[in-house]
Amino acid sequence: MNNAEFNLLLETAARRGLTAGEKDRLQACLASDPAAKTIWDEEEALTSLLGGLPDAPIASNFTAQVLHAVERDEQNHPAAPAIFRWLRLRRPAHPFLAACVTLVFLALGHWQYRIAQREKMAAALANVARSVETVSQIAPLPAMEMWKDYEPISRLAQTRPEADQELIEVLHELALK
Amino acid sequence: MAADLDPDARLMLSVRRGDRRAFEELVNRYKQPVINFLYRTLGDPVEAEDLSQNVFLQVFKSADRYKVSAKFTTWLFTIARNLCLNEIRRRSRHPAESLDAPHPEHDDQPLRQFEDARNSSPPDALLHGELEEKIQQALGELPDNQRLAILLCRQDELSYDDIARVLGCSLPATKSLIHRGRETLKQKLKPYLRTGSWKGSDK
Repeated sequence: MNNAEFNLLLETAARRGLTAGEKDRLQACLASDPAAKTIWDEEEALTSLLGGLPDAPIASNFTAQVLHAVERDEQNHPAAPAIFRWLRLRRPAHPFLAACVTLVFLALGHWQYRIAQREKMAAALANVARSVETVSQIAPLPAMEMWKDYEPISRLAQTRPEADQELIEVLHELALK
Repeated sequence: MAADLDPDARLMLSVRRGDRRAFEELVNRYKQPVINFLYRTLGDPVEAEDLSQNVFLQVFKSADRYKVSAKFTTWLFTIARNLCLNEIRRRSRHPAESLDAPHPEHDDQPLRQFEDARNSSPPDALLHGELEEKIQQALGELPDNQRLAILLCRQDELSYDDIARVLGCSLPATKSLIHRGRETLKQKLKPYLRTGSWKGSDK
């Protein structure tokens, strides 16, 4: 017996009745292998049992209930604007998803802002460096030796000596004489 | 181009344009096959009817996504299968309350009462009821994917390729599921295979 052919006939018989040609081939298979008859009988019996299962009960107003459910759903979720239908979206993205997308855009925006700020600061520092370089070329800094006595000299300029009272009194007496 | 389309695809195109009558026709055409499929998968007629309504609601809401090149029944039963699996997973997370649990206010009465059809039906109907119960029990004991595969086989409009698409499996894997499921059913229903029919189910 050709097993593959027998299995194919079994598969076919499980879905529909066999044609005349298929029945002939089945008879040939069964004739060549009596054990296949038991398998065939059991398969046929099972197909008959499954096929004989009664229909499930269904409410007489089932279709009306479905249409009502559709209307209720449309009231709770109004049709999406034309642009969404064109984009094949039945309704706007879930609020959580929309929030995530917004956050991503905000983060990108902030990141761009930080980059721009850093570039501005770098440009400003570059300007300062250029200025220092320019100034140093025009007016070179004094030699280090000049700065040696800088502190005592600057203290002198800041000193405010107290008035000599004795001298003032002597000068006053002389003036009176 | 519309003339080349099968009737269901033509109806779906109309549904996409908002044609409620076309949708109603599709519901009427397929409500029994869908509810049969869900009832035999879940084993509960009330849940099956509720879920069937959700299936068609989903069909309406997803009309924009229906591809005309795809067979409508394949698409329909894919939705049914997905909702069914969701329900099975939900059940496993929240087991149903026992029908034997007592009523909270009346200890001597069960929580829910159902008429026992066996007490009021003619003998043939009793035998049919018992056989149906045995078959449903055997189906319920199969792994989910085998049960789904075997029940999809009952839909004449679906070829093995279509069933494979609904299940999201390859064709050989689908046939293997069906074969294994049938072998298990044959073992469990051996006493009923002798007659192979619904007339006289002597054990």
